[in-house]
Amino acid sequence: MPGSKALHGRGPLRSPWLGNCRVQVPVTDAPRKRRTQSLGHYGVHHVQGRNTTTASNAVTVKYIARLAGQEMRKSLLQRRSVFPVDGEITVIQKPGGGKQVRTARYPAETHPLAREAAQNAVDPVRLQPVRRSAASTYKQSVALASCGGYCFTGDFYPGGASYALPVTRQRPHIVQRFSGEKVGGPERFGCRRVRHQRKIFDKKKAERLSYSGCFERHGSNLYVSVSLVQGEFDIPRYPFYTHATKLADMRYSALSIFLNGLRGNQSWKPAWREPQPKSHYDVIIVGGGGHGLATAYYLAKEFGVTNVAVIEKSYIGSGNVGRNTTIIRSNYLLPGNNPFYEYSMKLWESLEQELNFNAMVSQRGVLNLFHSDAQRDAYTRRGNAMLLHGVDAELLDRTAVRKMLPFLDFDNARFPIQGGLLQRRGGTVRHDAVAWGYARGADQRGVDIIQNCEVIGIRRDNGRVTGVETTKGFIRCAKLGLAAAGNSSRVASMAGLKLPIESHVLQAFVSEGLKPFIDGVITFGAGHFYVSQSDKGGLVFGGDIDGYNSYAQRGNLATVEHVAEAGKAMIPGISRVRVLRSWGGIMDMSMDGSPIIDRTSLDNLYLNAGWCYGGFKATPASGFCFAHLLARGVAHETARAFRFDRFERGHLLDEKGQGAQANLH
Amino acid sequence: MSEYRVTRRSALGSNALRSERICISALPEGHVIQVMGKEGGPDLGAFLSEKIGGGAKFAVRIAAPFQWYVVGDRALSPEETDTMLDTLHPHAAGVDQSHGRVRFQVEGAMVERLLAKGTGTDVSVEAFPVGHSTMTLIGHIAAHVTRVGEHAFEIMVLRGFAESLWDDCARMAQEFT
Amino acid sequence: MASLVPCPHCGMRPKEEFTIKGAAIARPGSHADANEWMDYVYLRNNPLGTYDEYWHHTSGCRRWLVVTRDTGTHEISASCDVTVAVKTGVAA
Ligand SMILES: Cc1cc2nc3c(=O)[nH]c(=O)nc-3n(C[C@H](O)[C@H](O)[C@H](O)COP(=O)(O)OP(=O)(O)OC[C@H]3O[C@@H](n4cnc5c(N)ncnc54)[C@H](O)[C@@H]3O)c2cc1C
Ligand SMILES: [Zn+2]
Repeated sequence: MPGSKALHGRGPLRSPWLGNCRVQVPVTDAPRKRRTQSLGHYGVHHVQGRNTTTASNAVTVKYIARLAGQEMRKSLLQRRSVFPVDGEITVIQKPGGGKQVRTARYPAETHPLAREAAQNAVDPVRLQPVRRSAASTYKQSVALASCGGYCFTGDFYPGGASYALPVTRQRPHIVQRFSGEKVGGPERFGCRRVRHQRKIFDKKKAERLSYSGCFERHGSNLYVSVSLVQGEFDIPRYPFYTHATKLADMRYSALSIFLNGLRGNQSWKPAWREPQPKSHYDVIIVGGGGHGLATAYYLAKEFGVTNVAVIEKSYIGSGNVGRNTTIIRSNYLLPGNNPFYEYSMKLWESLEQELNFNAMVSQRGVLNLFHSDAQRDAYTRRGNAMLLHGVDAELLDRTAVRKMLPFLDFDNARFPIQGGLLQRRGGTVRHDAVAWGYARGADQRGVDIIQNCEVIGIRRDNGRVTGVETTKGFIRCAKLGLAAAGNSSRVASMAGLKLPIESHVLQAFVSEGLKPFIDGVITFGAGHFYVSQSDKGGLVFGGDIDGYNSYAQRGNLATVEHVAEAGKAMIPGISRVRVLRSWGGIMDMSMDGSPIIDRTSLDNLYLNAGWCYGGFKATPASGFCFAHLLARGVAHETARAFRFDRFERGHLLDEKGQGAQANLH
Repeated sequence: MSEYRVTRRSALGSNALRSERICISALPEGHVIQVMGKEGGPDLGAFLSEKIGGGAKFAVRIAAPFQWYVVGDRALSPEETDTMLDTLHPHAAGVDQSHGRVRFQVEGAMVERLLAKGTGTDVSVEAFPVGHSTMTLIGHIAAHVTRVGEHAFEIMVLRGFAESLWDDCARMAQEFT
Repeated sequence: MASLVPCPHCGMRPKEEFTIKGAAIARPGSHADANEWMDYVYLRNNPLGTYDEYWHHTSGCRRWLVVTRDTGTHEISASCDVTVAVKTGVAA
């Protein structure tokens, strides 16, 4: 039994009633001795409120009282009913503090461990660390498991059905529908009782299996999750925290930096949890890039959908959101595009306040150079279209550009610079901070961000998606949203969809640090080159996609050469600048260069794809509009043109007028 | 009518760049006939060199599958050109490109080193023997390259690019002159 | 100069000499219905792995080729003239 080691370290828990103040929960830092196999989590729709509380799998009943804050604690203490020893969950709806509060009740007063748990409950406000031993956790988990022999389950969504977990060692992941069980509507005040009495494995085996309980508060719901841990009890690894005061922990702020500094910066906590997947989510989003995370964030924040998982095959920020050249702008021509990107720009403008996260949104201006009369005419048209959409645009002549950027090669023999189209509100944003900020915001609202979990299949039944097969097992969902960027075609093909998309590689480059000399973003109009200067001084630049289908996240030296040449043609002075690093990202190049945010032929499958090399700037609006679509079933007004069927209908959104060839957009 | 007369001016004039190890010189703007055979048709090489290349060495070059260039230093009269094109019938079709393509020669001990700076094609004599020719990029300009001697290549390029390619070659030759 | 691409007529050539068109898929006949055209014009399998692509040797022999490439590794396993590809059924 990996229980001889004492538990120390403290997990983050936020009291559901006390806002963001945290209570401390002991967790282990003992390495996993044995691989545990989570067989999924089962949720109970449970408490209403507004904040987020989470606990790791390892948190057992003892913590309920501490977790729940005064209201719930009271009720739990009064009842001393914290242990599900007979496999029964009673859900009680109870008015409290003017709100309707539903709490869990476990009719297990008789159990000694349950009593102990209730007595040990501490007031969350006092923030006292509680030392616990793994052994006691083990005992409790065994107690939990004493419902063994029965499948302990619960799926208490309004109108939902219960599911039973057939625990066979051969097929531990398979969840079967448990029939004959009706769950009453949650609106009804009073007592809802669900019994789980399906015998699914024999006593002998049961002894060797144990459960761990998990109480998680996601947005307005408190979930009682119970997962089965195979073999002896073992606590999943969980990020460690040391003491932190209420104040310092609440938000990132100058004060929190100061207070954390006083404590040697030892108290910073991970910005999001690392949960194991539950067995069911209302919405699953495939792809933990900017779009997937933003979608989850807005689902939870704006649309009240909090039982959401973002499933990411690698780590957050490993995709394009952490690979792009960080440019944001809304200088689009077409009516279907412009309002959307402008909406995104508006969201960028308030994003950092919204997320309480420094994403270094910097509206330093985006200037598109033109080199010929024809190009000037095209840019004039685009600028006018922007103005008509209420977006800022300025057409600069040569003199004005020269004043801004005297070091450009204005008299280039082939491509003299004639002027430029400037959007001052455009600029750059620190790309990975966007991923982190959204991840943290979503996590705080109860979204499970599940990293290192690849979606490998999409299960369907009768024209509907029932869930996703992942490397961590099958996860059911009511709605599935795809936001896999460069891998969209592959993921969509798991649901039998063929997309108007090709995957192509785009490269980016960063030079050694230079003194500041480029204020904004400049794009060359006569070759594939654009550049900005990061706050560290490095030139961040790039060019066109390499041009061939690729999933390799690395590019070709021919493109490197072209970008270097074009860069030098625009700014002769950089000819000796050294490139420090370069990389590639996989673009979902659509057949008309514009994205898709739409429903699909499968009733509950939604698609967000086709961002080409311009999806970073779209991140906030894409997340918002996709969340809108997922929650409400209809397109957000700024995303109506991004229809999946526009190709069939001939209503292409071809900003560049290139036709149906992906590598030309 | 324009008050300026159209005057014929050669693209590279009689430019030449000569040094011990490398030498670049413009070739006479004689004739360039592009011959297009039938897709999947026979190799017309021998036929072409006999019938219209006058048996001259290097007069006929492969341009692409089923395509050839017939080149020569002598400018042809319109009548001569017509006769030549008629000769091709019915085996192939010909296009007079004499004013469209310009030739120059690069030679000297360093010629392979020079070309290797600009093209990804292997120009070593084993891979690229005398008489062999191919179309390839030199820098950013597509050019037809023929090995006419152990240390000599002929380069044929679209007229509009001739000066640029010449300048590029001259620059690439700098370290050898 | 980088990434050599084999041309069946010219030998190994740098990628710069080529223009890439995209998926080598069969063009529907003139009487094909709208769905078939939709499929041909807009929809792509876009696989990870072996992929047939039209490449044009623009700055070389100017022939259209079908290049078989792995989209995960960029390795090229075959390259043939488009007429050969049609004959052997690789593309149409
Ligand atoms: C070099 C480069 C420069 C760019 N520059 C700009 C720019 O300046 N401005 C701009 O607006 N846009 C730019 N872009 C485009 C922009 O980065 C993308 O359009 C955008 O990030 C895509 O959305 P995302 O953030 O959700 O994608 P990603 O971050 O790629 O998210 C998709 C995620 O899905 C995951 N995933 C894929 N398959 C699975 C699976 N089966 N199971 C689970 N997870 C899966 C991936 O691991 C990935 O994390 C650039 C892109 C690149 C590569
Ligand atoms: Zn070729």
